[in-house]
Amino acid sequence: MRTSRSRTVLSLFVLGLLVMSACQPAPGAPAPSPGQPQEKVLKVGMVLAMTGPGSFYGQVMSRGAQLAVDQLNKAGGVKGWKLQLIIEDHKSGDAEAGASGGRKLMEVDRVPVILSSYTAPTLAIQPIAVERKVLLFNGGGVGASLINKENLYNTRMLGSQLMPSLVQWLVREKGVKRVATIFWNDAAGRSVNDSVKAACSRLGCQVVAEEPHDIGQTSYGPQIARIKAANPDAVVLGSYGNDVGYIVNQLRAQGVNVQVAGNEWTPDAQRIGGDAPMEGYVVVLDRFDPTGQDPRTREFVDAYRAAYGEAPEFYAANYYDLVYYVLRTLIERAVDGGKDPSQPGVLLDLMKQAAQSGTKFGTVYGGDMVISPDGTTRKPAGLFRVESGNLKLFARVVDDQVIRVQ
Amino acid sequence: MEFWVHVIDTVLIFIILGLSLNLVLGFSGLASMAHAAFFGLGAYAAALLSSGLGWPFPLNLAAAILVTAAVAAIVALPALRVRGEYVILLTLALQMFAYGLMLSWVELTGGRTGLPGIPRPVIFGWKLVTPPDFLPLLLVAAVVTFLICRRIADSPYGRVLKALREDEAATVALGKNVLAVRVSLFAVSGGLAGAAGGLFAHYYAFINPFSFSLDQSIFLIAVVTLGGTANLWGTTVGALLFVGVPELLRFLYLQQDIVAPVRNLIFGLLLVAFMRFRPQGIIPEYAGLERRSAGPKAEPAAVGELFRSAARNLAATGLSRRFGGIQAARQVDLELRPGEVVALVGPNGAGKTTIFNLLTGFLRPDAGRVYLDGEDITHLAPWQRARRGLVRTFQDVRVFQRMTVLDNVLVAVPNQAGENLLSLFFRPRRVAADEKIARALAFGYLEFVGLADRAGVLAESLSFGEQKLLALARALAVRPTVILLDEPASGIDPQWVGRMLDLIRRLRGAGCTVGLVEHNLEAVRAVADRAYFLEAGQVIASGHPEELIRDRRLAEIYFGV
Amino acid sequence: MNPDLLAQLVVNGLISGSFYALVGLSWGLIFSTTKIFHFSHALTFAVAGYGFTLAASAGLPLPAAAAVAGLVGTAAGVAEERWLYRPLRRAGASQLNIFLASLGFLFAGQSLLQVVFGPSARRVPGFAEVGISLGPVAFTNLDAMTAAGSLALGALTLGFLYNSRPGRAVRGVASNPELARAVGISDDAVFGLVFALGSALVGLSAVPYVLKNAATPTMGLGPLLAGFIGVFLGGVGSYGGMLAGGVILGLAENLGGLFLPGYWQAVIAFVILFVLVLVRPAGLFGQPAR
Repeated sequence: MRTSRSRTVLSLFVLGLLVMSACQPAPGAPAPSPGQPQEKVLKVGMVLAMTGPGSFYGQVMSRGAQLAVDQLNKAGGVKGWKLQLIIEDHKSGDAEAGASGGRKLMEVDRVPVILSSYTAPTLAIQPIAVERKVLLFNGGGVGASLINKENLYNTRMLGSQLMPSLVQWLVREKGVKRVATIFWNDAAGRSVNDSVKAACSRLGCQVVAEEPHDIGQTSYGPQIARIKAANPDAVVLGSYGNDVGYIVNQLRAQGVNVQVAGNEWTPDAQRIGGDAPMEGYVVVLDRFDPTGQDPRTREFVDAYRAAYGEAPEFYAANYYDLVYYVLRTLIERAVDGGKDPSQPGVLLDLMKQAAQSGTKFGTVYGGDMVISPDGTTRKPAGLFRVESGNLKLFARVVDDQVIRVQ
Repeated sequence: MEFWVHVIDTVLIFIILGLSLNLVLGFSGLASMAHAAFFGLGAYAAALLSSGLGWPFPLNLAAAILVTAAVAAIVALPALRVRGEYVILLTLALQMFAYGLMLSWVELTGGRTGLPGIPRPVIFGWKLVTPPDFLPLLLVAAVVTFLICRRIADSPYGRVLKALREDEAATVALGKNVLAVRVSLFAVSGGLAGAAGGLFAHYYAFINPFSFSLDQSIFLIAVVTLGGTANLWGTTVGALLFVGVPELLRFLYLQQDIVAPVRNLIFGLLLVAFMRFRPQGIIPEYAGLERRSAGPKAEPAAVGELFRSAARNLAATGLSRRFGGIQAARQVDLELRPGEVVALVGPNGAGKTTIFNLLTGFLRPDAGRVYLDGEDITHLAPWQRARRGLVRTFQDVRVFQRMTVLDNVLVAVPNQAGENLLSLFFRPRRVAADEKIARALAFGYLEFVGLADRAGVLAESLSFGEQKLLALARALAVRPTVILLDEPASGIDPQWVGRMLDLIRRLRGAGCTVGLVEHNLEAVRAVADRAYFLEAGQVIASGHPEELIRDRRLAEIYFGV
Repeated sequence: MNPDLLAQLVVNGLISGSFYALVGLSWGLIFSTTKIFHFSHALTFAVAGYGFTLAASAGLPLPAAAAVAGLVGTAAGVAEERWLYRPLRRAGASQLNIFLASLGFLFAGQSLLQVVFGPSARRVPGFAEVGISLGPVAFTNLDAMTAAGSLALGALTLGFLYNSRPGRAVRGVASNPELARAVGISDDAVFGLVFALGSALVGLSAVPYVLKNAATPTMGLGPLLAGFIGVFLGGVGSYGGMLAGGVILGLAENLGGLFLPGYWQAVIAFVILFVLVLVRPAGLFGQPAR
C-alpha cells in the first residue's frame, strides 16, 4: 500500500515535470529579436470568441484591433512602443476558457491590458485582472453586471442605457400603450426588460407580456403564442445575435403584425429573419455607420476595406477605437509622464484618471466618446429602421432625447 | 511558471473527474452522458453555498459531494433497473436538462453570465488564491480520489461491478443485488464528480454553464475511453494527454478558430479508431496481470468446508407461462427431493430451459408456485432465490470473460464484507479477513473442478469445456443447496464429459440436490436418479431414466421420428 | 384559461410533435432492429441538412433539393453502417463500444462540418414562409408542410413495414433475430436496409428544420434527443407507438407553456422521460419485456 501510494505521488510529480519541460521552449513564440535591443514592445491581450457559434465576432473584433496595431506600428509605434496583439479564445462565452486564456495572457505574456468580449468571460477575467493590476476593456458584451466593476471599462453602450429612448419613441411617436417584451433569459436580457418596464411606467405605457427565452433558441412557439394572446401594440426585444432574426420571423409568421423594436441588428440576423418580415424593424444602437462622412470614419473604413476587402461593421469599429484612440492616448500619457506602460498598473491608473476627468477620446463613430468611472461609455447613438434589408438612421439620441433627422 | 501550475491544477481536476467517470464507464460498463452535469451540480452547489450563505470551504465541498451523490443515485435509479440503453438515454436527458436549467434559472444560477466572485477557500487560516496555492490541495484531492477508486476497483465490490459489466444475468444468478450495487456506484461516482465541481468552482472563483455542457461529457468519455477503461492509470494518463497537452497548443500561435474543431475532430477519430483496433485504450485493464496474479496463492479450503450439508427440496406446482402464441410451460408440477439428481429431458423447444427460468425467477410464471423446502418463493427476485441456496448455471455458460478464473469464482462467494461500500472503507480488517476466507474457498472450488492451476488467467482464454467447469465452480461458490445445471455435458469434448459427470455425483454425495437439463442421454442415464420428460411445455412422463429412454413412444417424440 | 392560447399551443404541439415523430421513427427503426444506439444519427441529420442547403444555394428548386437531402442522408447512413458499424460487429465489439464509436464519429463529423462550413448558421435562400390564420390559430405554410409531410412519411413507412416482404423481414429481425437468421434472413442485408430507410427519413426531416432554422454543425442533437424520448415514450417494440410518442411529446412540451415559462420545455421532456422509465420502461404502447 505504501509503496504504491508513493508511486502515485511520484508519477504525478514526474508527469508534472514532463509537462513543464515539454513547454519550456514555447515553440513559435515570437521573441524580440536580439539584434535590436532598443525596440520596446507592448503586448496587448485579447480574449475573444475565436471558435464556437460567435466566431464571427472574434474574427471582426481581432481584425479591427489588428488594423489599428498595424497602422500605429507602421507609423513608428506609439512614442517608440510597438504594439503586439496576443489573442486567446473563450469559445463564444465559456467562462472557464476565458479565465484560462486571461490567466495565460497575464501570467505568461505579462500583458498590462486585455480587450475581451462577451459578458461571462469578461466577468471571469475581471477578478484576476484586479489581482494583477491589469486594465480590462470590453467592447462587445452588454450585460448590466459589467457596470461598476473594478478595472473594467465597457465601450459598447449597454442595453439599459439605450432602451429608455426607444420606449420614448414608441410612446410619443407611435402612440403605443401595450408593450410585450421578449428577451434573453440572462443578465443582459433581463436588464433590458427591467429598463423597458421602468421607462414604460414613467411614460405611461403598460407591459402586458414578459417572455424570457433561452439564448440561441430557434423556435419560439410558446412565447409567441402568449405574446399574441396578450394583444400588444408593440413588441420589444431584449435578445441579441441570430435570435433577433428568428423571433421577428416567427412573430410575423404567427400573425403578430405590430411594431417590433430592439437593441440588436446584425447582417446574419437579417438573413435569418428574411427581408420581408424584418422590414420596418426598429433598433436603438450606438451604431457604427460605415457610410458616415466624418473624416475619422472615412479613414478607418478605407483602411479596413483595403486590408480585408469588406466594409467594417460595428464590432470591428469598437476594437479599432479601443486600440487606436483609447490605448494610444493612455500610452502617450504614460511615456510623457516618464512611466513604463508595460508595467502592470500604469495604464490602469491612467485610465482611472481619464475616466475621472472626463477625457474625450476620439472614435470612428464620428465625434468623441466619454468613458465614465462606473465603466460605461457615452457615444453617438441613434434609432434605425430596416428598409429593404439595410439599416437607415431616422433619429439621433442626444442626452436620452430622441431627435428626428431628415 | 504560474501558468504551468495552472495547467497542472486543471489536469488534476480532470483526473478526479475522469476517475469518477471510469468507475461507471470502465468498471461497470454503463455509459453516463451526465458527468459534466454532475460536475456542474457540485460546482453550483459549492458556489451558491459559499457566496450565498457564506459557508466555509470544507463544508461546501462536503455539501457538493452529498448533493451530487444523491441526485446521481436518484436520477439513475429508474434507468438502472432496466437496461444499458436506458442509462444512456436518461443520463443524456439529465445532461441536457441540467444544462438548460443552468442557463435558464437565472435567479439561482445567474444564467449564461454565471456566478462570479466565489470566495477563495481558507484552509487552516491560509487563503488560497493563486494556482500554486491550490496545487497541494488539488494534488491531495486527486491522490485521495485515486486511492478511493483503487480501493473500490480491487475490492469484492469492484469484482461485482466487473461481473455486472460482463454479464448481468449471470451476476444476478450468483445472488448479487444488482440494483443496490449500481445505485451505490452512481452515488459514489456522482459524489466524486461533485467534489471535482466544488474544487473547480473555488479554484476559478467564477463558473458559468459552458463548462458543464454535453460536449464536456463527451470529452470526458473520450478521455476515459482512450486512456483505458477500468484502468485508473489509464485515466490519469488520458487527462494529462488530452487536457494538459492541448494547453501547449496555445504556444503554437495557431489560427485559433481552427484549433478547437480540429482537436475535436482528432478526438472523435481517435475514439472510433480505438474502438475498432484497441478498445481497451492506451493502458488496458489488465496491463499488469502477470504481476497481480502472482499475488498470494491461498491454501485451498478443505472439501468439507465447500458445501452446505443440508440438501433441500425444490417443488413447483401448476407452473404456466405463455410467450405470445406459444405456451412454453403448461401446468408443470415437479419436485426435486433432497440429495437427488433429477433430469429434465425432451425434444428441442419442449420448454426445459423455460422451466429452469421459472424456477429460478428469471421468468415470472403466469400461474403456479415455486417452493423451496416448503417456503413459497414465487414472488422472490432471482438474486434472492440464489441467496437462499437455489443456484443455476446457463446453457451458454456465461463465465465473466474479461475477469480472471479466480475472480470468476471469488465474486460468487456470498456474504463478503467487502461487497458493502461502508464496510469497505470503515471496516478494513473485517474486509481483509473475509477476503482471506473467500480466497481459500475459491481455490477450494477450483481445485474441486480441477482448474486451480489456471486461476490467474482470463476466463476468455479457457476452452469451452473448461469454461463449463468454471461455471460449475462459480455456481458452487454460492453454496447451493439446490443446483440447477443447464446442459453441463453438452457441446464439450468427451474427456470433459466424464469429469463433469463425476463431479455431479460428488455433488450429490456432498449433500446437494441437483437438477439437470441435458441433451446427452448417455449422461442422463449415467447420473440421474429420476427424470421428467417434457413435450410442448408439459410433463408427459416421469420415472427412472432407463425406463423413459426405453419407452418407444417417448423415443419417437424425442428423435422426431 | 385562454381558449385561443390553448388552441394555438395544441397546433404548435402537433407541428413540433410530428417532426419529433418522424425523427424518432427514423432512429427507432434502426435501433429496434440493430440494437445499435446510433448516436451519430444526429450527424446524418446535419449532413443531410447541409446537403439540402448547398443544393438549394446552387439553384436547385426546393423539392429537388429535398430529394438531395434524402439521398445524402441515405448515403451517409449506409456508409456509417458499412464502414463504421459492420467492421465493429465483425470484430465482436460490445454494445457499449459500438455506442462509444458512434459518439466519436458524431464528435468528429460535427467538427469536420465546422472546419469546412464554419460554425455559423447557413440559411437556405429563396424560401419565404407565409403565415396562415385559421380563426384563433396561426401557423405557416412551412408548419403545415412539416406536419403533413412527417405524418405522411411515417404512415408510408408503417405501410412498408407491415405490408411488404422486406418490411416483414425487418420486423422479424427486430423481434427475434435468431429465428430470422434460422429462416435465412441475412443480418447484413436487413441492417443495410434499415440504415438506408432510417437515414433517408431523417435526411428528409432535416429539410423543414433547415428551412425553419438554419444548418449548423450541431443541429442534430436537439431533434435527436426529442426523437429518443418519443421512441421510448411510445415503446421500442411498436413502430406506430414511436410515432405517437413523438406527437405526445410535442403536445406535452407546448401545453406546458400554459403553466410554465417557455424555456422550461426541456424540463417537461425530462420529467416525462423520468416518470416513464420509472413506471413503464417498455413505453406506452410497447409490450413489457419478461
